[in-house]
Amino acid sequence: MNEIKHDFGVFLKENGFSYESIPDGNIFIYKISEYKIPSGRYAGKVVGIGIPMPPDFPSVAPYGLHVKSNGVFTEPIAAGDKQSILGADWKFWSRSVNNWVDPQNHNCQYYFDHVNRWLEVS
Amino acid sequence: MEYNIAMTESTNKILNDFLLKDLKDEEICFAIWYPTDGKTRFTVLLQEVILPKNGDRVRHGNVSALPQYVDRVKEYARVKGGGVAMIHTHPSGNGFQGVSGPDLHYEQDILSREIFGITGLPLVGVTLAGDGVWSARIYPPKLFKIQWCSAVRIVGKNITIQFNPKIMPAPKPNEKQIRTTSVWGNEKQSDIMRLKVGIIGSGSVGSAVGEILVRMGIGDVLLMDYDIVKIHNLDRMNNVTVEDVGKRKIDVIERNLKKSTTNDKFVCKKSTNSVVENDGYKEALDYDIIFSCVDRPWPRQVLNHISYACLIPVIDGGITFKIEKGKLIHGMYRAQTVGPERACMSCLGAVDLGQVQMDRDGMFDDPEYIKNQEKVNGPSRQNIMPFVFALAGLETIQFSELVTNIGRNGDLGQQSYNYYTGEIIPKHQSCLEGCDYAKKIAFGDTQKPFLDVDKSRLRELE
Repeated sequence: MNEIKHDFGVFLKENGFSYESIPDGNIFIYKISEYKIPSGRYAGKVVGIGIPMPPDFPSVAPYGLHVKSNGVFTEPIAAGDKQSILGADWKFWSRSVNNWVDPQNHNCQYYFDHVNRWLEVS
Repeated sequence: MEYNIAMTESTNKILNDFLLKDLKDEEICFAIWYPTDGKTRFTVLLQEVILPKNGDRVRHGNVSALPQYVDRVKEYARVKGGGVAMIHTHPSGNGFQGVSGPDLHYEQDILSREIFGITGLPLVGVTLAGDGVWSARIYPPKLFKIQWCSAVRIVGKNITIQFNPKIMPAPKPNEKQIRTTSVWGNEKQSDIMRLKVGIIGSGSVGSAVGEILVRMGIGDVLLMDYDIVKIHNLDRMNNVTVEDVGKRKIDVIERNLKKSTTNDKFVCKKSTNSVVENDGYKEALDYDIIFSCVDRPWPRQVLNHISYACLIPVIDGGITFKIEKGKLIHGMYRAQTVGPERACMSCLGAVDLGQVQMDRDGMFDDPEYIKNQEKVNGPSRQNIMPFVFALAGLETIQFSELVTNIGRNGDLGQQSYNYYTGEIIPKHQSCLEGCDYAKKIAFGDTQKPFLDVDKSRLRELE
């Protein structure tokens, strides 16, 4: 399997993140080991995140987020939350992106804004 | 292998306007096409018309395309990764047209090898009669011998299928269909009887849609579902009883359809594949129209894709109930037909592309996930038989208008029934700006959707 054509990696690099790309079935997980939460009540805290990119992104939105909490969050409870394949310290948060109906939202930034919101409100 | 040609109504109009403008001499032009390869049917999708420039052809009763024109088309097809269709007219012809000796010699013995060598795709020859009827042939590689297409499908606000009478002769409507035929006439009924209709999902709505279609006289139906009848299906599936619990849904529904059909030559194919897997996807491509009777986002996304990329209209519907603290807050069913020149499921809000990957991960039918979700949100998937039958009725009305155009409307829009007001409200809209599906029209297998193992199917089979 090749990495997705719409290069999420380029987006991450342009925004100053270093990442590992890990294949997982039909997706690639873009793993950022040290991610500083930009705003909200956990602003400045460092966690790990793994972003699961579907092969036909941006037509189809990513689903969920892998999170290494580093003790920052109390465990979030949502239907579908489960152990992550990224390691014992990682959890998979089941989250859906809103309003992917509008093709104007089919881009990396729109999804990344959701990631930040999930981290802010957990 | 069966061969078909398909094009949009817009392409059909461009071709008719040019080719039949002056009926004194024959006329010629070319088109770029893309393939879509089903399990038993190969379809040529005419994607882009390349009209001649001044000096590109000579009209002399017959018509000749000059080498500069043919060379330009070949090179353009190579760059675009498409095939070449050579299209000419028989201005005084009516109905299906054969091919003359000289034309056959040129297409089969000269051009077919050359075109295949350059594009990697077989030459397609198409003839338009003066009355607007198409006939088509293809020259598959290795033998390069003529193979006639069984039908030409024109898709847009309506679907028009022009059948090759030698391969698919017109059946005679029979006594059982007399009331139906009296509404739209023998000719339309004869076309309906030759339609191939796929029903993806043989649950509540799928079983009712199938019942209506076979009574209308549809002669060839695909039932695709991997599920078995469960006790909780009995309050909504048509003519399914407690004795059927544990049997495959497709077997039970096939039994019912065979009893109900009014078509003496009724054929029912069954599949336990999933349309999101390669085998199921290819099976679906063998059909002229598809009913989307599935409730998961991934299959609906794939069907939405098929309707545009492969020019197979998809009739879709859904039922929603919102119950809070035991009280009905909202009850609605809605139906829509998607495909070229109509808004797609995503733009109509009928499939959430934010949930497709979740479905691919197997979460939609995961009992643990559903249990956890219901703890938070209360019971899900509420449904009642009256809505099932009403939706199946609405979907098959969309089908009737799509294939007969008796309402002179073609596109009934997205029709939503509101339980509180009792109204069915139509909504007409186009795809939103930038919609991916609108960009895929007639690109066929060159724009295949993402297909993979269906985890929900695997779980069901365990």
